[in-house]
Amino acid sequence: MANCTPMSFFMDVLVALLPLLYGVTAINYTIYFVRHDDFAKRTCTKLLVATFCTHLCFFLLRFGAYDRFPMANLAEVLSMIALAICTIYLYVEKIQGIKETGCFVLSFIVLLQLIASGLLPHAITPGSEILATPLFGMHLVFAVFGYSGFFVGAAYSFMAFLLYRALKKQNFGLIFDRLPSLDTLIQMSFGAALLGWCAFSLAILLGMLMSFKMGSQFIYDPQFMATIMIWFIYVFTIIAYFKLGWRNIRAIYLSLFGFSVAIIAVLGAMFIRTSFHGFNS
Amino acid sequence: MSQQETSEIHASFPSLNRFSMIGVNIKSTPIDILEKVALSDQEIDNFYQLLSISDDTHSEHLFKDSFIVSTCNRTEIYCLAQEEKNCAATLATTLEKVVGDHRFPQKSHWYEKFGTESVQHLFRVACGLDSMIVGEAQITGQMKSALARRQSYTQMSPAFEAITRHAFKAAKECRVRTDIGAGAVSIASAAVQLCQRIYSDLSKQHILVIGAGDTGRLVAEHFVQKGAGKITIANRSPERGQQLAMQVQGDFIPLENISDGLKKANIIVSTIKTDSPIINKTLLESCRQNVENRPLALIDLGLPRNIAKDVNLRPNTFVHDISALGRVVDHNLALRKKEIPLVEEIIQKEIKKLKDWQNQLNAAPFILTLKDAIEKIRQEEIEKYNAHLDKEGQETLNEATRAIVNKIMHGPMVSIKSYAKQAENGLERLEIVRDLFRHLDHDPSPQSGVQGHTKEKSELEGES
Repeated sequence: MANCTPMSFFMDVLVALLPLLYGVTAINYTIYFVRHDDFAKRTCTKLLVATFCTHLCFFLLRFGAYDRFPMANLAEVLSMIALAICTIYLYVEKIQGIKETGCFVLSFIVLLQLIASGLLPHAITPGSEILATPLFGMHLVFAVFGYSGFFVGAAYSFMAFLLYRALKKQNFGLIFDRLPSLDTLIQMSFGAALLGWCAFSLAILLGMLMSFKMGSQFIYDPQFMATIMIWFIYVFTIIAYFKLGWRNIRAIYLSLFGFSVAIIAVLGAMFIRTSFHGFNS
Repeated sequence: MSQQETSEIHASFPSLNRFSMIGVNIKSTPIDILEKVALSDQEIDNFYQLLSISDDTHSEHLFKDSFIVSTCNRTEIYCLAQEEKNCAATLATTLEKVVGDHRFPQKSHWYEKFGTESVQHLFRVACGLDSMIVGEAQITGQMKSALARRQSYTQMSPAFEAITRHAFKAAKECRVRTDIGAGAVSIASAAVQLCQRIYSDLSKQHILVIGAGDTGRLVAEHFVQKGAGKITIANRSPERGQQLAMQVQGDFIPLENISDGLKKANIIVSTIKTDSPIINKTLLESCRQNVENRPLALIDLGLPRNIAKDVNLRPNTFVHDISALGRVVDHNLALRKKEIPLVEEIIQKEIKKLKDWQNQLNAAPFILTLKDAIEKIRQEEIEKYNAHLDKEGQETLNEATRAIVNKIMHGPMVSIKSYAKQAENGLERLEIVRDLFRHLDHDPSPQSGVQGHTKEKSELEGES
């Protein structure tokens, strides 16, 4: 067992440290959002990058310690989602140079990592050979990045919705003051969703390739069908953005709708999971 | 600060109690009186001249330096006196000579400040805290221009230069570290700010300004300042409309063809006088069938309103009238006011830095002079006994007296250095120590002794 080694001790420390680090970073981003504090502005991204690196180290250590992709149980998957959201957020922040939205995204990451860290010590890992397959690992990583992209996109759409309402109702408060402009938020939402869609497409391709190799019938798998539905919704989002020029409330609603469908589909597929997407086989 | 500047000022930094000021501003004085006392460039020159070459013995001996800030919102005169004294009355008399009795306001309109309070006032003015609109940035530029004018006349005293430099440093820090200058505080700039909450990059937007009157011109100019992409002016009178269009490098359309403008623009500002709304939901829907995908910002600055209420019911359409803009302005002003304690804190920190620096500058020459004076006494005393001693005895006496002097002076020297670092009461404590050693000033020559040294420094400062 890896439990007695210094490495496992170090990993246990990281498990406890990660929610704390994300928490401090989220507070820093919130201070910047509310008060436009100069110190918070200078330190928030640095702190997030440091937290991100720590989280990445934790995953690599876990990968090394268990010889499989660390996404075999709910706790590990939640932690991976937190890391993926963090990556996508950092990318969008870097591209747009806007830090005001960090507190919204980070608060969700804190919640995810808190649950993950709480569950990890008691998590039961199913003993499945498939988890050690590199192709499967890549499939999982891209899928998680895909959903995380959709989540970040929806988060920006939600912020855009709040600003839309504030502008419509002439409510000139914190939302009006601090959030980026409406078109920037829509752009950020689309950027994150596009990133998610690319990762999601790769996840589907890798999944199909894997099932061809295994000779499985995936066409009628409920999760596959749900995935394809989500994929088409986001294809329509891309067409609406580029071809139809949607940069308005419809773009906001579409992003929120796409993410809602994704969540419902994932949860629905979990209930009617077939052996195809189960790890215990 | 450059080494040269330091050596110039190293003579001694005058106590802040030698500074005083008088002034009138928009808050203290009615505008008709304020505009009378506003000084022209020529009058400012006259004032400086009067202070420096006046036959009036009061002015000649009282002031070492002065600095005038005269804008449309204030006329203030700051001075550095030869000694610690409130010179407000003399400043007022001198100003009366410049502007004459008929323009000189009653005493009740003036305010005067003395010592640290006057320096603090200068800092507050530079940071925009004393302005009619809190945090406005124009005053800093106006003060810089006033300073350049002052410096073009004669070289400013290092003390005054240091104070203004610290004041501008505080103003810059306030702009960077606080939101004291954030947000629009006029209706025209609030209109632009509102549009920027919808479209971040105005250079890609098409703006339609309806009306080429004063408000229309002001709004169009604000959009140009913010880098607006394309501006179309729609107006009843073609002459006026074309003139404004040319001024903002935009296009002109007659008011009758407004639907053409409505089709293309994504920001519309209406500023005309009309009995009934000129833009309504039906008109917009017929004009904008093919451009529904992007938000539309409508700013209604007309009274009675130019845009019908039902327009705001359309999705992706944001209508803001003059009352909404007024609320934006109020909101921004409230936000600026919230920043005042932070700005005051920055001002206090900068004044503390000024005082620390002032104390350190004053302590260094004092320590050197004190050491010189004590060494001189020691040498004089040794010489009295050297004639009766052989060479070995002379050396022993020399070493013994040096050791005694060093041990006695160690404590006071440590204290002087410590006082020099104290912003609070540091200068006063240094003065007490100076008084304690004043008896050492037995040589009337200004080149030696504590008092002599002080005189020398004062002269040096006078020269600069």
